[in-house]
Amino acid sequence: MAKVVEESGIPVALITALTTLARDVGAPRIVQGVRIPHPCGNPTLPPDGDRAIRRRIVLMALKALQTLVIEPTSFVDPDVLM
Amino acid sequence: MRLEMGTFPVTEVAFGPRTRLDGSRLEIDRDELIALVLENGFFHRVRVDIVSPGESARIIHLLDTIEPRIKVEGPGGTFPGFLDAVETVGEGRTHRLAGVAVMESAELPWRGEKGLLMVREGIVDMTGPGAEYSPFWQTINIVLTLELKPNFSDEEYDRTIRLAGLKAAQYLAQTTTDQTAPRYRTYDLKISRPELPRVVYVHQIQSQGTFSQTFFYGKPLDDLIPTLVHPNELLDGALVSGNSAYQSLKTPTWLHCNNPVIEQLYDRHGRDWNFIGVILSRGHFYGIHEKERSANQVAKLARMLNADGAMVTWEGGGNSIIEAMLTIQALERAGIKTTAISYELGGVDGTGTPLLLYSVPEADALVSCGTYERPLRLPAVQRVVGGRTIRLDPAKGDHRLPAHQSLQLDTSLQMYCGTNQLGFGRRRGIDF
Repeated sequence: MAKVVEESGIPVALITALTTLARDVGAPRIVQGVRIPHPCGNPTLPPDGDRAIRRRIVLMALKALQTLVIEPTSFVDPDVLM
Repeated sequence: MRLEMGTFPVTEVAFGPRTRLDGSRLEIDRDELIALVLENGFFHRVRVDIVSPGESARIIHLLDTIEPRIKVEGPGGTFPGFLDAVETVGEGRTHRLAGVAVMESAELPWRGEKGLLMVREGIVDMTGPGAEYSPFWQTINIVLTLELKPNFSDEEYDRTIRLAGLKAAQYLAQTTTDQTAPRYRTYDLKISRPELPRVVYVHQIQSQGTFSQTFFYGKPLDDLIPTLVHPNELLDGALVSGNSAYQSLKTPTWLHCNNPVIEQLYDRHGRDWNFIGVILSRGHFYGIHEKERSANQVAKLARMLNADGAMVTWEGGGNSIIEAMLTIQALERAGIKTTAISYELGGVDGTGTPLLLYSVPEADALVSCGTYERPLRLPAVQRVVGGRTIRLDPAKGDHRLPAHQSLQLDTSLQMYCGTNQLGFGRRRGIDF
């Protein structure tokens, strides 16, 4: 879906824990998510910590949207991964 | 490590005044068995039913299935970590009753829509079109229907049901303790022809919390980093299943002890290859690093063993295929020729995409063990064991259907071990 929307001219950033899978299907901008049950945050942290992670992921996704890509490209914030 | 397995084939099972094995006829003192199971105080009532191949019968609410086994000589005991101490098994002599299966059936309380890892319906039909979906239509099944006392936790139900099943299996196998088996088979990895190619078996199991777990000497494998085990340990009861999340895709304890991949690797050991060991790993990790770590560590262990070839199987569906595929990729990149058994998707008629949820270019030698995506119509049956109604999709609510009537299933996900990825059973792909 990401690929098709991108081809229509709207840039897409996909937040996912399964970056290998996203690359395989050709998603254009792949933003590293935390874990399968909670890709966009980390609820195992205290609320402020979780909020900080969520903010970092969204900021990374916004940065990805502003980046010109030609092939599937990964965007990883290492502090986000558990 | 040299294991002598004594097999006592059973062709008849009946209730009798004493539990004993007379040739191939197993008699069970029903009251004594029920008393044994009731000991733990967690069950209101226990029924014991004998269900035979070819009967118009349906067994429902299935949890684990266990082959009666007992250690008769040598180190360790039966189902170590549960019934006995955690001494390493896989040596000495063990007896098994072949052709029978002890089955746990219990209706667990419905706790609301809970997502992925809950107990789902598990069904065996002993005749008709549904029969061939489960390998257990061919065994004489001794079904323990356990009525649970209320207000216990999932963990307590899980543990007590498991111990009941294992105890019952050992109890029945005790009938062989003073007898000589009609046949013995020796399992020994000794290498007689070192020039043959070295083959390792990668056994990826599922273990993600209560009701979707696998145990090694009693320890849940939720945090498993790939490790080396001797195949005899698996044949001798080191792995016990606590996995009832997706019943068609799981490996019950019975199948862990009768792993067809291990049997066949042993069959041709010293003739076509040298079977060098088993690498145990876990799938369904939630983080991408954990998945990659598992694959990399499996390949590293295989390289340390100087493997030339690897056979890979995995348990459960969904994202566990990612670990499996990354493992195949890592092995192949290490120069180890790898093949695997997998179920396929393919939709209603096999032409749908995707065929696999994830794959890598290096996975070019896969054996299909069938699909669960085809619809299935089960006929009405005369006898239902385990309850009266079934709950097909607990994630959608507590809706029930009468179990004895004919059932139209959209998929065969409820058919017990129907798409088990050890390839045990008759289902396979025959056309590509």
